[in-house]
Amino acid sequence: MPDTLQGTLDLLILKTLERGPNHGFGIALHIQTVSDRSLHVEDGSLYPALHRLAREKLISASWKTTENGRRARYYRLTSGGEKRLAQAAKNWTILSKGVGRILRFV
Amino acid sequence: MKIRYRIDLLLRRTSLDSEIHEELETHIAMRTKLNETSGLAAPDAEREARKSFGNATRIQEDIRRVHVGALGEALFQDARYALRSFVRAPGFAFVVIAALAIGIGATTAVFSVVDRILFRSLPYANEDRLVSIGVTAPLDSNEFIFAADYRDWERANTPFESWGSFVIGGPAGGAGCDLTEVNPVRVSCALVDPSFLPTLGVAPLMGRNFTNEDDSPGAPRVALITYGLWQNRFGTDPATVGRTISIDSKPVQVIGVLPRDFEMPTLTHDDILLPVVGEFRKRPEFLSFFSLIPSGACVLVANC
Repeated sequence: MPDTLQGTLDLLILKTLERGPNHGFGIALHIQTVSDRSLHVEDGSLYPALHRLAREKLISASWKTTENGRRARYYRLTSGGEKRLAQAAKNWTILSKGVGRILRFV
Repeated sequence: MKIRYRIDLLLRRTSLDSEIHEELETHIAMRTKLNETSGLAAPDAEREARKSFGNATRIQEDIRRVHVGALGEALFQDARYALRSFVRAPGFAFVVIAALAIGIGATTAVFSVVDRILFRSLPYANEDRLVSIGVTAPLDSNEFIFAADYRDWERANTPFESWGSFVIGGPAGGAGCDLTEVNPVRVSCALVDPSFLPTLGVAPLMGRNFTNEDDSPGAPRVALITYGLWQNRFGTDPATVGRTISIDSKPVQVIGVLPRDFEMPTLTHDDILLPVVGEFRKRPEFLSFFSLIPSGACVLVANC
């Protein structure tokens, strides 16, 4: 099992980008809102992961202008990223099921 | 990894840094804006945004490591791939390494010779006006003249400003002679005119050059020694000038030391220069003859 925590952050980013291209702040906001602030991730720690995923060609990055006229770096899921997302989501389900069973075992 | 990306990364390192910086600052600005809309005052909104972002400097460093680390890894992989293909095809590897080795070796060897002979100027002050005169024959690859001609030219009116000669393969010229002292040693002696060194434009580092008196029959025997001999044999002792040493069992007074970079025109390093004492001119000998054409005159005029 590779570094689970890092893998988790990757999974959250890939899943968020499945909804469409977004910039770093949008991704952070989505994760915080949807998880109902139960996941305490420092905003900044997202960026090394974003750059690493871009280097691995799981996402692609390009500068675009936001609706408010600000320049921002937008990330988009690549086809490789989609495959990785499917795999990672499956692994996560298996992992959480397994952990859940152990926790429920009396 | 694409080569273009790597070159890009090396060339645009500062632009990568500024891109990362801009991206992070954009994030903080967006968070600040959001904080403001939720009712925070401007300074508090930005402070909160920076606080929730974390240590921006450390994060920027982490991002950069993602890129630079990828670069180092790619270079390492390339090197490993090259080595593995060499192991897989040892014949090819041998040919490549041999071609490189021979190429670099031959170039270095040729250049170190050609540089001295063709590119570097002669190690003499008068190098631009110095000509070598004589006949060529299979006997020697350099020009030479006969001593009888030299005697005639001395009497005749030549267009040259000055001239000098050294003896090729004379009794001691350029050949072995012995320093017969406490620890006898074989050295190399060259026989030269008193006018030889001034014609080249070389002045002794210490002491004096030969005079016509030194170069006459029956004169006390004198010698000039090279810097190398002075250093190795006499320990750079300034009192060496004026000392009497023994060459081929005859007492000879050292009258001077030659400059450190002195070379004979044949690029040899003789250890001792001796004057061509007058008696030698009675016998036919071969000389290497150098003269100085007057400044401004061309070689053709000198021929007239």
